Amino acid sequence: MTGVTIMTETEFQDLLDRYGADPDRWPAALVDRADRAMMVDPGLACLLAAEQALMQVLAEPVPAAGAALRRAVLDIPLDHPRGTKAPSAWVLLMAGWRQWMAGTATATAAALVGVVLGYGQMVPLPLADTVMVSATDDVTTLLSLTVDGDLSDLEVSE
Amino acid sequence: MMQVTDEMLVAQVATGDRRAYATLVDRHLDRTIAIARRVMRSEAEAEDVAQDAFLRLWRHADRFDAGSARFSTWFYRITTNLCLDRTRRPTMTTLEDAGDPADDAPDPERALTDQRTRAAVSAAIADLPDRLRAAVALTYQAGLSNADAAASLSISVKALESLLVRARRSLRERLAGWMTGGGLGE
Repeated sequence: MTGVTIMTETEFQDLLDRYGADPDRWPAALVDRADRAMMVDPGLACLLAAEQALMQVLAEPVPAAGAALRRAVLDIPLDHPRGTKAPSAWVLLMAGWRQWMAGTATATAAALVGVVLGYGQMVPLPLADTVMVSATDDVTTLLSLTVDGDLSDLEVSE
Repeated sequence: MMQVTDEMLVAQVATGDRRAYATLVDRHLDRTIAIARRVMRSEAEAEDVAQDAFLRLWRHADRFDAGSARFSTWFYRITTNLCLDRTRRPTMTTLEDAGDPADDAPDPERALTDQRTRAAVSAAIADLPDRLRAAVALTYQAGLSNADAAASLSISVKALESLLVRARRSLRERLAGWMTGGGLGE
């Protein structure tokens, strides 16, 4: 005997868990021990065969979905149209409140701007000045015309 | 041309885009039904789960958060949860249904051997506890990475690996018993 201990079933199971069912992938140091163990205990060889069959079946390509199932799944959007939910009373109330608040805020802001500009006289009042200037011009013209007219009348009469 | 990702598509589905939905169906239906077939115990139940999963996708696409998970993780988690929610009944399928394993035989009988082995594996998987079965389905049937499969089951990768080891040991031992004709020890 070489003194190499026989692999126990637990060790053999660990080997399969860790390295799989292909002995070519097992560490070389463990292959001999595993081979001996399988010769001593045929049940271990059967475990290996079972693992190989299991992995072979699990690796087989997955059958595709049937045409009827595919059709049914594709038709889900038609069978279950996703309509828009009717808004609740609360949502409607909040929407109205938001609109009212937006309008109020705009009006308040406009009024505030008007007050600031008005009190601060930051904006000239062109209409009033124009009226006053034109009125002054009219009076001056009238007076000058009147004075000139009177003098010429006097000269003629003399 | 840039590949449209699942995450982009699900965002479009959230706006009611049926073409985006159809693309996601093309990409994921086969894997979804594969998971459902493996976890459920009948084809009809598996198809119900698949339809339910896609109905939820159509209705609740807006709940998907691209920042927290990939679409496949999110969607297969929905599928797995639907399966596990429905599997609360005792199993009706047993390994005995697979019949006896065939002896080494000439090629004409090889197909029968393979068919019986396949049936035995399916029956053994069907007898696994629900979460072990789901782990096997996500990893081997759906082909998800361990990280994605773990996320789909809402567990850590380490916990998933533990489930897979337990599942494989259980399957291996039952199949080995079936192969030696020594019965189907529970």
